[in-house]
Amino acid sequence: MTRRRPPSPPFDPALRAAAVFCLAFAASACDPPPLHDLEAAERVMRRAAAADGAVRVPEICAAARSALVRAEAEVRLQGKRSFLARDYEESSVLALQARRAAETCALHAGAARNRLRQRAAAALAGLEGWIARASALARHVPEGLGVKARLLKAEIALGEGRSASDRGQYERAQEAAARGRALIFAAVASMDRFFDSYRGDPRRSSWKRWVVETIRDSERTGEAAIIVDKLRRQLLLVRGTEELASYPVDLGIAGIEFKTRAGDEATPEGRYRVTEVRGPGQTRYHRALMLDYPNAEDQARFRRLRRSGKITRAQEIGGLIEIHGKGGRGQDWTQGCVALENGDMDELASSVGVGTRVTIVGTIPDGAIE
Amino acid sequence: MNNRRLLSLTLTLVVVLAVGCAKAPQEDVNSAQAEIDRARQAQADVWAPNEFQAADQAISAAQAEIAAQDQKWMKNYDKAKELLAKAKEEGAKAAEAAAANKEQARKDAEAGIAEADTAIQAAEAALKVAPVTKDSKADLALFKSDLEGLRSTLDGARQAFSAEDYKKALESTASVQEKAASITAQLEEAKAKRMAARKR
Repeated sequence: MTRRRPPSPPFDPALRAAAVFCLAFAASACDPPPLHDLEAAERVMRRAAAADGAVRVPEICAAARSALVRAEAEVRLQGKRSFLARDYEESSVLALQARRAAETCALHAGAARNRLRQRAAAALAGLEGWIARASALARHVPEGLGVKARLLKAEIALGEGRSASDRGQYERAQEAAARGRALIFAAVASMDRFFDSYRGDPRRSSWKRWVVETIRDSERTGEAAIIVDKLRRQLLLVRGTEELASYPVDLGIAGIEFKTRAGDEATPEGRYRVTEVRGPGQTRYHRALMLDYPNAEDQARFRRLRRSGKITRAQEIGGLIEIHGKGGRGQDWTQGCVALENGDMDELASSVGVGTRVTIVGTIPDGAIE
Repeated sequence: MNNRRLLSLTLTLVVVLAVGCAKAPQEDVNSAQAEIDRARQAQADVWAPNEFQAADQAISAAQAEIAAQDQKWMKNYDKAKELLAKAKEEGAKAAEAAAANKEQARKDAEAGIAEADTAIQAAEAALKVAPVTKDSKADLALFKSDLEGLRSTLDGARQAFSAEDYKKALESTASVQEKAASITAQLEEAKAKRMAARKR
């Protein structure tokens, strides 16, 4: 036997409306604070901070920060209100705005960081290239110009830039690169001035005459001749006006200075001949072409300088000037000899012999070889 | 008008006057501003720019809110107070972060200077015992001149350190240390080659 439930009494419509209103009010009062959006905004702002947003895109990130503090303040304000008076509607709107503003700030900060990173990398790579090119050029000028000191400072600036870049400080890296570039430009300007003055050297007419005579003699005899251009650090093997080969060379430590005596570590300038060809085992420098320095002209000059007191009685004229191997260091290191890479020296030694003309000049004037 | 009506009118008037006459939270403004000034003194704009920006924006928002409420007849400074509390909190954070970051940078720069000095001394010691030959003379002269340049740069780093430019000091020392270490390595390599040649 089943028992039937009595029908439930119908609700009073006024009571039902009051219940619905109370539930709706309670539900609205129970709206949770927009913590999710606030936390997300905070997280994104931390990301922006890691990209130095406050420094790199200050206006955009200031706006985002402002939106965030307003939203946080509103949430705190509502949190302090009584349960019935609490309303998170405005907080939700502000929190969402803050989140969007934070995302914009992070996006721009990230983009700015990437842009700066690329610029810094390019500036540092550019400086590295400039240093390499200027260093290659610097070996052609004398020490006294201060070029090497500037190059060292530029290298230090490059290191500073790299150090800053490694720590994400790309603005400072660019500043260091700019500093380095300014040093390189100053060094290059000083080298340019030197080259211009060297081209106007009073010995230029002698150099031209020596080169022209060497070429003429080679043309007449059909024998190869060697011409060394000290400024260009270049050795030319010629037959007449035909250039058979060209090799880079290292000179004496004094670089392009003019040799006057023993121990001045300068490479002499003049017209010489090969007096002996030494192979491996006969020289410390792979192969060597011994030259007839000092020749009559060198000796006459030496005597003049000694008489004028520019060279003391105790000083000697020196000797043992060679063209030899073990060069290719990219810097002047010999005591006055001309050094080539071993491979180049092998090639050169096979093309010349005892008696070959060797003319060494400060630089080959324009039009000397035509 | 009966008594009940009069009472409710009076109460309403009292509430309206109480709210309408609310004063700007000047004490809160002062204490928040004091924290921000402390952060600024700690160079938070340089050493903790993100934290400083948060404090700065909070006080700006508070000032804007106060200005907006000042214009209203029914003033309510509760939100401004919250913003000022936030500004004070962020100001304190910025001051602390700036002090910590600056101290870390100072320590890093100090260590960098010491390390660079050691690296230069090592290179100078290696240079001192390197034999001068025809082959090595030019290299040694170049190293000597480079080491003089590095010493001068290190002096510059010390000056930057004294002027509290720790970032600059650290960058310079890193570069000096690298270059000095490279000179030592080249000298050591040459020494090893000489030893090997002697054994042969």
